[in-house]
Amino acid sequence: MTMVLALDSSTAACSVAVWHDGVIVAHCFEVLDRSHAERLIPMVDDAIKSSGHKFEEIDLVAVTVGPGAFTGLRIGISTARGLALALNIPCVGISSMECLCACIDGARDGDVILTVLDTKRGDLFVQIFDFSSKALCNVAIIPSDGVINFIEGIAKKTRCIVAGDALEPIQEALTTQGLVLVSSGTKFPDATQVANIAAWRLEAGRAQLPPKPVYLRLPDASIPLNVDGLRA
Amino acid sequence: MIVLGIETSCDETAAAVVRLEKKYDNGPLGRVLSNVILSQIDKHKPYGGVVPEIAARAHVEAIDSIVKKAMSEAGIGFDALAGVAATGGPGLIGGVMVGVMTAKALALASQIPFLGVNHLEAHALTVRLTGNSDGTSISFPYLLLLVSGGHCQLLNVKGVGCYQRFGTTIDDALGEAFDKTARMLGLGYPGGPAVERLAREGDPCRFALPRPMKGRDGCDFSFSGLKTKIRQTIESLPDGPISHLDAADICAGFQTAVGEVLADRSANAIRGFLDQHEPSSFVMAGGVAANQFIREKLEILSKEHGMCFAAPPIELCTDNGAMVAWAGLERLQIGDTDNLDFKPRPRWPLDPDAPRRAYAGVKA
Repeated sequence: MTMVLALDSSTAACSVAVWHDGVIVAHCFEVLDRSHAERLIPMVDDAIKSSGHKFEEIDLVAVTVGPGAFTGLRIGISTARGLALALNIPCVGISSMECLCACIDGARDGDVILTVLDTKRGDLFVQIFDFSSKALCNVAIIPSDGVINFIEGIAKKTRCIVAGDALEPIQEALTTQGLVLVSSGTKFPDATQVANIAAWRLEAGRAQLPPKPVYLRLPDASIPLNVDGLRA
Repeated sequence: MIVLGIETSCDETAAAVVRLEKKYDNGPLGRVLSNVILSQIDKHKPYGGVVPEIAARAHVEAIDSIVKKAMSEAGIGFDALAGVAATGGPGLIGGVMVGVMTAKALALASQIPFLGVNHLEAHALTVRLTGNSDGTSISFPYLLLLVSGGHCQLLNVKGVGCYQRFGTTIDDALGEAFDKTARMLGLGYPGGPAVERLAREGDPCRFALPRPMKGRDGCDFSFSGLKTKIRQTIESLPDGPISHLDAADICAGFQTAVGEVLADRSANAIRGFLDQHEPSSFVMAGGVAANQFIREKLEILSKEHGMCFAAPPIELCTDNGAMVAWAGLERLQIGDTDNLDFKPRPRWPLDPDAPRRAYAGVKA
């Protein structure tokens, strides 16, 4: 008897899922753009209520840790860690790219899976997996016109299934390079997959990620050389 | 009644547990069961001020362990709480989000009310947690001088959630002026304690500094002219490093000027308060209320006008979780709780009817 509560607010979507012994027993998913801080907690409340279970029955809280929107990551992670603290249960992190990859079914031997999210800062988060969801590289931040070189360094002339919210800026470049591009139709991570991955790892005794944001970028700040133009 | 309070609106990650101790006809008194503060100052020091993204990252990293520590120091479990309060604004929104989401999650999982507290109201009500120095409680209405790194306001505190603004800064906050003075003198960040320390050794009369707004009608403040004059004064010094004596004289001059301005504006506010009410308390709160020189100055002023001066203990003047817990507790007492769809508010004036000041910043 295991129960997992999973959250995702790493992109424009916001979702909550409750996993109970192999079955998703409750699921909420909304595309919100900016109101995650308002919606996430009521969605958790709704999901638990509609699952027919109680908070006290939850064994594990799982949350996407990025890459994604910095504020969104912090909203999801502070919520997940707060719930885990109050319930005195563990909290684990799940990669949003792994979560996107897990949304894809129908990948065949030899296919690659390209997960790509808009950083909203003029470039893209990209990670490539093989047909069995094994990561072929770490998450990288690359400009949209650099995606083709990035993929060719890993896989050539193959079927490439794409998931994520940044398909449009790279579509043209990819189709002209001999790759067979297939859109998976999945734009956003979903808590259903967060729950599935976390539950699988839990039951298989695999290591889990800590519930800490994966920013992949330093904060925008520079050390002033000479504050206010005055000598120090 | 016991409430947990979370503060993450600037560069302190803080959590505290507060209990309502007594309730008199004229006001309540509380007890701080725990008060845990993790300062991020070292993370921001190289930048000469708080960097919002660095602050938000540090808050999300630490807040759950700070809450856990506050609960264990208070010796209670979540089931003993009547509510969870968090600063809901005004402040740096990335940090506020972290505190609010943590508090909402704790409230939902513990099935207790959530309170999104106005950070300014938390400063305003703290004095009711600790009461007067003789152990008596402080009742509404009272006059409040709220002075911190982001604010400088005079308010008539009529009740929980009921404020009338008499005046505010039209440019810089006073805490900001302290920080900038310290920075120009190379005293580091935060500047308040450093300026106060050095001012004790200095001659306040050596440099002629302005007293902006002094003698004018109303209760507004302005500190940018004073800041400019400090800069010019420093530039007029002979080349080379600023001597200890010069720095001390500038600090003393600055602090004296500030004290005179605060006393002048506060005197106008006291007159305005006494037009509406019987003599009551004159309360100073916020980070600058930790300044002993200014406290003494305003204590004298209060006596002259038949008002009773009060200020929270110094450790509750700077940002902390206890003040947030107490404001939450006061709101819980009147049944004013928030829903779990509460949205953090980067701008949140205490008196929504007061005119917005052109240069008062997003927070005022």
